Amino acid sequence: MRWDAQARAVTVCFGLVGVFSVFSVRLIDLQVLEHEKFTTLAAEKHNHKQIIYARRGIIRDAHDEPLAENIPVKTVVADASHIRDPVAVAAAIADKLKMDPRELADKLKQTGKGSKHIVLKTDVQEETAAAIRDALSKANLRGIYFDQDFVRVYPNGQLLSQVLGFVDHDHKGVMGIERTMQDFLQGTDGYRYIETDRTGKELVPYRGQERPAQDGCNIKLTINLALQNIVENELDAACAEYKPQDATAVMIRPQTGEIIAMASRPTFDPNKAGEALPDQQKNRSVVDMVEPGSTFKIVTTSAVIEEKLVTPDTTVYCENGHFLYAGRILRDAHAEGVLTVHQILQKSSNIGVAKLALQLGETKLYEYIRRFGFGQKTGVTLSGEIPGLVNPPYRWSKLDITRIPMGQSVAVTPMQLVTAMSSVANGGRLMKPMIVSDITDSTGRTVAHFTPELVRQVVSTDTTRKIASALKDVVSKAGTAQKADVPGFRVAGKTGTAQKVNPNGGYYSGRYVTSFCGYMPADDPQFALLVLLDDPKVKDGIAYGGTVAAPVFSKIAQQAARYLDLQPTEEIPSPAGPNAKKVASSASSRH
Amino acid sequence: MNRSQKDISYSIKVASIFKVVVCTAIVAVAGLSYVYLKNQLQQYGAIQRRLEHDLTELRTANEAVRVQITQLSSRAVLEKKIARNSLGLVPIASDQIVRLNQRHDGIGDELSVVSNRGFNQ
Repeated sequence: MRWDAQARAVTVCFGLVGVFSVFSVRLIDLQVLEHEKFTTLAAEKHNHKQIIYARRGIIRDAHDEPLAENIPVKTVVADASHIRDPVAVAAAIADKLKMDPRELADKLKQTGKGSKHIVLKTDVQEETAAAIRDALSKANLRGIYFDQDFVRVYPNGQLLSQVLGFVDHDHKGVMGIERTMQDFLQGTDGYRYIETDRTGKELVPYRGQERPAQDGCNIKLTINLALQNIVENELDAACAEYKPQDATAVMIRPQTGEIIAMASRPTFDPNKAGEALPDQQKNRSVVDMVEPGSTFKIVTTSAVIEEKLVTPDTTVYCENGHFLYAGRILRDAHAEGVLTVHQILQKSSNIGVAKLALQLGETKLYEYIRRFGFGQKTGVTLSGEIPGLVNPPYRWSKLDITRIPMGQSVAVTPMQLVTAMSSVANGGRLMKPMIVSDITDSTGRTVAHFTPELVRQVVSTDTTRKIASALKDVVSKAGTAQKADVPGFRVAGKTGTAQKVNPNGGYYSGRYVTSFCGYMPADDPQFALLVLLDDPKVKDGIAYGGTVAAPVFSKIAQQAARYLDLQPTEEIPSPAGPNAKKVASSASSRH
Repeated sequence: MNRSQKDISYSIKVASIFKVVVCTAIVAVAGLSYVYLKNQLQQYGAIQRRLEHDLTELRTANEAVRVQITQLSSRAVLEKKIARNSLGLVPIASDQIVRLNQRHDGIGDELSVVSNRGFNQ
């Protein structure tokens, strides 16, 4: 064959056809045969599901004072595929992250081996993140990115810590309101499918499906932070003075069951929850139970009056302080002869109340204990609530009928005790304690509004009036709680001094659980308050509820009355002495 | 070459050329517009991304400052400040308070002292 022009042209043509055929085959291979593989590879490299984090709801008090907030922070993340010079990147940002440059460089080098993304540091402040961004921009480096995150903060530190609880690293509530309201507070994260260029920047026109984040709901509590502060300050002062093993105070609005203040000692700072001991984290008002002592006497006396077995004026012989029953002697702190039912409560006679219980009978006594809410959870929205311990009559010993009325052989939570006292203050109506008043979404729309809930009518209003009359006299010179007195106001309440239970059996000698549970003003109760100090240390004598807990009640109640602007109805003794100024009667009596 | 062949002339078909030019121009303009608009889309996308980022940063900064204000004005911090600065704040004594209550007898809006009657004595 001649190698003429035509032959050369044909050869070139075949060559070109061959080359283009190879290209075509490769194109078909890439576009058709291996389409899925390369699409997936491209998607892995350039398509991302970007999480839009929901903001956790805020917790506020009854007057919208913030109790739990979120501080925005950044999580610093390195992307290996975008880092060319790990040493330079480390040098630029190490000091800002307060990390060792060498260590950081090693970490960045590791990102290329296996893990593409690596978290360098969490909870980095916004200012630090901005400084890192500037430093990288100036040095023309890339590969460091920031994920939005938040840290839960509690602006008031220790105040209300056990009620609020805290969250873990995944922002899940661990205890308290943070836990019980977790479903409302957490919100729902959103997402957005995005495509990025080779530098990691989002290509906005290629945005995919998007779902906005739904921020968590905000919770409004019934707690009044001002009163909470008063309660906690006084509890701290009492702990400093008496050094009890632990202490609890609960303030509640009797008519509604709203918890106004609640505190326990020892306590902790939820901003440093990791440092807190389990004992400090306990909300003792609901997770601890104690033998209540004489505060429990309101149950038996209410029951016998309600059952019309006695009247407040019925007399009971109190055996001059020694009562032999079931082979054991029951003693009174002060030997008493004949007392009326009214006086039994006023003077806190163990023998008197035991005799009333014997008259009432085991079954009825148990029925009234349960009606007052003991032995069952109150249903308050707080984590870890326990029901206390009230055995049914078939498990009682012969002695129990005389011991239970004075608050032995039963265990109650402080919450149950103050709720029961509130029912006396509230005409016999037992209210379910409530701590959450409103739940609103992030736009302010009300999701849920909680209203007071009547559990049951425990005893009649007439019975509570009679009991209240005796409880008022408890806080008098003739009663056991003169130190609970609040100048200008009538206070009603009951002291409790229970021997401390030894977990190994029996009772500790000389160690007591002292308490005072009362309400004020006695004729128009604005709050009921329980102060309980477990094993307080006094310099001389025995720690009684009337000498240890009652003064704490008085101090809290005085400040609370001032804060609530309660109008004095009684004579306020002047500091000058006998020339006391007479306070005029209340506004209602004048108009 | 015969005469008839000599006389044949090929006129320029202006209309056809025009059609081709117009079609080409349309295709070119469409193509360029596509590229231009695509470019614009990218640019506006970048602007949108930057603005969204700025907005997020602003909101975040605002949130951070708001929480900072909350912390600084919290009860615990204010109490510490009061204690540290020794402001000497003392509660008002009960006998120094005069209560003025609005009358409810329908006579008027006058205010009357209803407690601490002896305050001015």
